Amino acid sequence: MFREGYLKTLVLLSLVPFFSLLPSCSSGEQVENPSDVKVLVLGMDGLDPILLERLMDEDRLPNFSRLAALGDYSPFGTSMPPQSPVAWANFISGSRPGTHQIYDFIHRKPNPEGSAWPVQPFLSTSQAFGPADPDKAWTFGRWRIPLDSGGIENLRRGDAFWNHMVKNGITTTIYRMPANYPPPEESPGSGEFKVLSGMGTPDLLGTYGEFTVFKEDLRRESKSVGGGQFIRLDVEKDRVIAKLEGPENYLLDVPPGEKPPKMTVELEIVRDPVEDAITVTVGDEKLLLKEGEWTDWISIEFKTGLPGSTVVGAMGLPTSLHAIVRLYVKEVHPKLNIYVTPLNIDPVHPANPISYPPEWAAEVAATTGMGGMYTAGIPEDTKALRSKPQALNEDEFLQMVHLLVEERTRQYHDALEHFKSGFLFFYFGHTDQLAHIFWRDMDPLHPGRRPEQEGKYDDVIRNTYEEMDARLGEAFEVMDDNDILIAMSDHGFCSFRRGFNVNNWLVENGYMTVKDMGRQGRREQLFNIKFKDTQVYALGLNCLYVNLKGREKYGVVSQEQRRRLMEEIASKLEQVRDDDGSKVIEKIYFTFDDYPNADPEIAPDMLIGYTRSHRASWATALGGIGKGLFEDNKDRWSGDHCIAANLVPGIIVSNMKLTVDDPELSDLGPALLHLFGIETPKTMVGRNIFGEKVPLEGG
Amino acid sequence: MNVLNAILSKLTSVVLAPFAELPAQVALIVISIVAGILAAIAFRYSSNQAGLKRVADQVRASLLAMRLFKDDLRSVFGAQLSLFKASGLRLWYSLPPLVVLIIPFVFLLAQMAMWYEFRPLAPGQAALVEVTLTPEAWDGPPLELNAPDAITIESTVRNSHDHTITWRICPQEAATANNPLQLSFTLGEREVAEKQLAVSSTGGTDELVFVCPLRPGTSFWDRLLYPGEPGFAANSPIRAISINYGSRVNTLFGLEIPWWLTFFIVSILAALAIKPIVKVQF
Repeated sequence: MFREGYLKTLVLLSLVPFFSLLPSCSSGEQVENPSDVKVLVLGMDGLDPILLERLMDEDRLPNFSRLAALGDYSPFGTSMPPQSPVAWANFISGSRPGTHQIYDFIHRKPNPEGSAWPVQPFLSTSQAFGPADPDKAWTFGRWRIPLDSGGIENLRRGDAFWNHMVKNGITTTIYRMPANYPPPEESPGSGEFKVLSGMGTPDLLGTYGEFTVFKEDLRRESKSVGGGQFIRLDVEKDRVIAKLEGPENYLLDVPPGEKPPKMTVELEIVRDPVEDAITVTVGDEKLLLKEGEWTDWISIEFKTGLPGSTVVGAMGLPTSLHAIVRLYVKEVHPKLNIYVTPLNIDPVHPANPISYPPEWAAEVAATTGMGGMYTAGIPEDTKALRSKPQALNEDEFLQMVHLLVEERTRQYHDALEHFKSGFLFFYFGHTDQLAHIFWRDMDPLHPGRRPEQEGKYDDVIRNTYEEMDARLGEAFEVMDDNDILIAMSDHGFCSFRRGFNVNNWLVENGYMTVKDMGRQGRREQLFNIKFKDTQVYALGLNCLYVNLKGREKYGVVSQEQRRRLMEEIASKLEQVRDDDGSKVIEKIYFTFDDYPNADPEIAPDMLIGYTRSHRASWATALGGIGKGLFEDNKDRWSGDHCIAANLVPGIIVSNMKLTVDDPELSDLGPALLHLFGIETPKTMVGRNIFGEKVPLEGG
Repeated sequence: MNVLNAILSKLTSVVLAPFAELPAQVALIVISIVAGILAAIAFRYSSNQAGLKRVADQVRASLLAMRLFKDDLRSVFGAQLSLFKASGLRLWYSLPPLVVLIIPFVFLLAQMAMWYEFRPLAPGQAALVEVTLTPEAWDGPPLELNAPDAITIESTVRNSHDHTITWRICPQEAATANNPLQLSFTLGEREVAEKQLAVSSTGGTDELVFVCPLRPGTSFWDRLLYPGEPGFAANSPIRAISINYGSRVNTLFGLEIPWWLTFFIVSILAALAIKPIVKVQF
């Protein structure tokens, strides 16, 4: 029945002494905006200049062509390495990695004290930290209430360009800028400031997204795969209670070395004995779903079970964590199979702040009309598509992306509608993720192509470019002659046909020793490296680290040997050829030469710039070894951009004339500041690349 | 209870009829004002007004004593004790009128809830209709849902564990006075129940629409709290029919305020405003 909330209301009403009820009001203070100019930047992750120009030539992108004809268009120099967190950090900080200190998706601690790890990998853009005094807690019975909380730190260094806008009173709104999690806790200045965190925002489990599949025909009770887990459903007479796992119960006191049990939420699933339909009941909410349907967002609450939670919660201690999920019914008969999205942080009750002001995320979510929104940084669940067994097939993955795009487009329209002055940045990330997945369908030479999918997904990426063109057209509609419209991407794209096992090459050439060459594809591969007999190791998609004495835990290379070693390896690597004789590496970059301020504890010693079509293998990214030096990329992840920066620029198109031939990402922040009459801050190295402004002709 | 509910529902419909073309909050405010005035009058005649007057005098005297003799601890404590006693006495004198008022107010609030608590469906918006059958009826011929052409029945799930059948329906057009949307349920050839479906062209944010989410069974409380449609008899094969309407968002001067809060604030203000006229002591 659907009446519990109503019952509570009426029961409460009959008890409340109504003479005491009076509302209170508060008023906010508004700051005047000093500028009437509107500057809109559309960030379209991974839009590739070669493909864009081809489609413009084919008249498939009329709005890009129109804007380019009005103002200027150019390939846009990306970061080295051209990975999204690095590239967007270049844009944000108006500088290069030596300033913002992000060099890869994955960094490593060279000497992790008190840890078994020889070197310890971690995600590069943000990091959770525990309480200053973990022993400061109230303990009673099996409960332990911490009196000091930890937090999450944004690891991007340098100064964000928008800080200077806000300081100068410019209204500034940022939707999902990558490498910008967590959002700031306070406004940097007097201008109205709103920011929603994007790529880098974790799910409720603290990962980049872990799906769940409830499946009836699993042999084991549960099975973890990369990016998610499968859980068996034991259906009895068409009914089952499924348990969706959440984070560990953070208020339970467990003996040292033990992990607290995970909090769970129960889903009651009832299947019709004949029809391909089920009901799913979560808390008070009941849904009826047919096979092949997605739900809107469902709000779920993971409760710690602490006695007196209501009172303790009112005192400010979170006694439960809220998430939102969407369900997809893959199959009802004969075997039930339900996909659940990663546990996105609930924008209404965020476990960690995902916006500034904190309540703004809920306002943005409300514009979608879907009961929530994707808050995880990379919402396109490519892992579900790539998992073995597949959690989602290509068509189902595209449905999910379609729902995401629909949601984002509504938010975009709302953002445009409310954009009256100042600066607005709006980010589209599915352009990147779809290119990663469907590039092989455009590349006749890709080794991962499947005959049965021939012709089926050829146009997915091109259609996405057309869709971005439509968004650009909508921006024209709301902009005035005096306004500035910029569309840009952080890098381009190319085919990822062959993976290069860098650590295998290091072993073959005597720079690395491993315990077991047969240990491929297993977890925690760094433990397989004999660091005391290793001079150099590869970890991440472009990074090479010298095993340096005094820095690495088991360092063997002295400072004096380091330079000669690096030059020797660079020279050899640039000569590596694939089986067909093609060049594998365009250039090896010496990080501390290119970025003199690079933090020696964080930065890799060398960056590998691959040629188009090659990339680091998946094993290399985790510090592992593979089978042989090269491998065909049969993965659905078939396009990439983690190669030499000069081979994979992004794009910039605007109604501003460009004053340089080689604009690059780090120029854009300072150039935007100049548009508002703000001098380039000293921490930024970018140039003002904008010259004459061409009126937008009323859109 | 069914008869009383039917009378009160009809009465509420008649009272609200003149407000049909106006924003929903207008009727809520008018009803709240009238309820506040009537409550003040009822309070006047059902309470010990002389006693309440004495208590009020006593409170004033105690407060004055506390101010005048603030340096005399004994007097201050004595005044506080007197204040405490007066408060208890005021509560005691207020009980009879509260008992008198609570009955009509519960009926009134339950009726008002049918107009203000739930949001009608909009055309194209799906909803779940759930029927709970008796165990005997579950084992009999299958229950069928019959809907007018304007309503699409999208899917069904039969749950043998709690003898419920859930349909997902989607109305394609709004209900009107000439075209009320009615669901009917048949067991075999026999029609055994009907249930109204509230569908408004606007989704009902600022208009008066009767929305009844539950047609109850024999439960006294369900019948009291969901008076919109008659409860099923004990020998009916159906125990209850529910529809999952969403909650309605009521706004007043641009602020989202629950309808019941508006009701209480306005009725309290009305009662306070009428106080000198009806010469009532609260």
